[in-house]
Amino acid sequence: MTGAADGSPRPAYGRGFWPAAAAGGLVMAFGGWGLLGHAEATMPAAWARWLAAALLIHDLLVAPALLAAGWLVGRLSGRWRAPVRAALLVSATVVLVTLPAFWGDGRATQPGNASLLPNHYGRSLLLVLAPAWAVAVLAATRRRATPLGRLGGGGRPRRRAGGRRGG
Amino acid sequence: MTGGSPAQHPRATAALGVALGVAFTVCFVTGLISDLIQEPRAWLTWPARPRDLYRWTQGAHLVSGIVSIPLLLAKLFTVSRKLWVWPPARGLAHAVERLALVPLVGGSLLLLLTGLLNVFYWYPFPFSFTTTHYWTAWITVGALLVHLGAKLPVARAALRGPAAAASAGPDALAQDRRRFLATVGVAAGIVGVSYLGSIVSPLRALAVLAPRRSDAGPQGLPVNKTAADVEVVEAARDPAYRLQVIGAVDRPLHLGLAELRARANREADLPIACVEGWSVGARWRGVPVRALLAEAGAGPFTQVVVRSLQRQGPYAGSVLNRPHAMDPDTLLALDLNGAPLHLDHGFPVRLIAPNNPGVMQTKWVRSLEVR
Repeated sequence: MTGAADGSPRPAYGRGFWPAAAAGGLVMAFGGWGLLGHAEATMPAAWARWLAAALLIHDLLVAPALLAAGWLVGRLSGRWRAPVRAALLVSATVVLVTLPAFWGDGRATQPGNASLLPNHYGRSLLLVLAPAWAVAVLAATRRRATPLGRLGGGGRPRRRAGGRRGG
Repeated sequence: MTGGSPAQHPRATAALGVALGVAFTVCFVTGLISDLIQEPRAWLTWPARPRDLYRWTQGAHLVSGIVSIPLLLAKLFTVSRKLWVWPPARGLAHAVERLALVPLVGGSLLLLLTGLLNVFYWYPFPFSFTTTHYWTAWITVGALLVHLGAKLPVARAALRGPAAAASAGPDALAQDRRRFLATVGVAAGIVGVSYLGSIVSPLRALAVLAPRRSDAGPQGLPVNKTAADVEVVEAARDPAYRLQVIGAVDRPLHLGLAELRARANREADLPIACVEGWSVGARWRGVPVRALLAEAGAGPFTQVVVRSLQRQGPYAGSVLNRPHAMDPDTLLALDLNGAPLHLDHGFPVRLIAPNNPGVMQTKWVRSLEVR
């Protein structure tokens, strides 16, 4: 999209870029000023470590894992590809957002407060994931191969070598 | 890495970008509103009506935040191969755009992560959640402006321009991409609806993934802090308890429980709307704050400071602005849903006011100071 990925010399920017960049810079400066100005609450050094860690964990672990999962799903036969990808995506999302219930110590912060994390989160996961995978299996077994599957002439999609350069 | 899945196409990125842009805007604006109410500014008097306004703004904050998690990860997935482009920058504008990705992506990840951990009462980070979340939001939104300056034309071209149709690829690829986007939508929808269940009472049963159920607690109402946790059990049960109405008044009041009970003549249906997003309506019975102020002979005041028996912590008190103090439904409540207040809901009396964040509905009220 920037043009850099496909080897074009220099990405094009609209007339609005520099005004937007200037405005964004001002807003960022305001945020940075506030963050540093409330250092006893925001602990800028720790904040920066957490920000860097979030980026590194995403870029070095999450993103490669998603790419690998995407690649593996791409190798499935046409009829399984979309349903499995859908079920995987739903599963990953649901597991991710309930992870703090399993990993964290929320209930321990106030022993005796039945309002905190009142759900049985293992059961919750089962409630969402079982139907998701059931639907996926049903969709895959009841459907013929997708057009994309036929496009590849067999089980896996054709590598679209030129497909990404057109844009 | 060659090829890539049909999901890694500018059209998918642009579509997710639009969805994420809407979600982030809602989240940012509602977050600012919540901050403005809790840290009042001279130029804004938060109104007491409509009654449920804060309930919806803060509910929108929670839902837009939680759906942003799958949207953000999906969007990053569609562009992840660009992270390793070489050379890293072609020209000044490109360098600025890419540098802004550090606060944009880092800030977004940090906001969503700390927001999620906060609603689950898990604090593995050393900094204060509220203050850091607030300032990180400004940094992230600033970076988002830079990003929009670079990408808005690109996204528009990918979705609508004449080149859009040509770049869409064969029908099969477009269809696969649509399926991917639909799946991201379904995943976001599942978590979004589940969190909506902790806000909209008829959807309560769907709140299986959320850290709160709007009916889990004594008297069918959630409790944020128990009396034991803030060490007010003894003071709240003390027979010598007196509510004090003091400050700029002609006749300071010192009222015991029986005297308060004798004045508890008003019922109101008002929600508890927590800053953490959950909310639930209830029927309260108590003494109108307005009536107490009149009885004490309060002059022309600007605010009423409400103090709790709870001596410490940021929520040991709150401030009622004039519209809130004068609203007929603003009560010092003694009863909840027809029964005396549970100790964890603020016995002997708690504040309940329309369109007021939960943390400002002070429990175990000790005094009202008119200023």
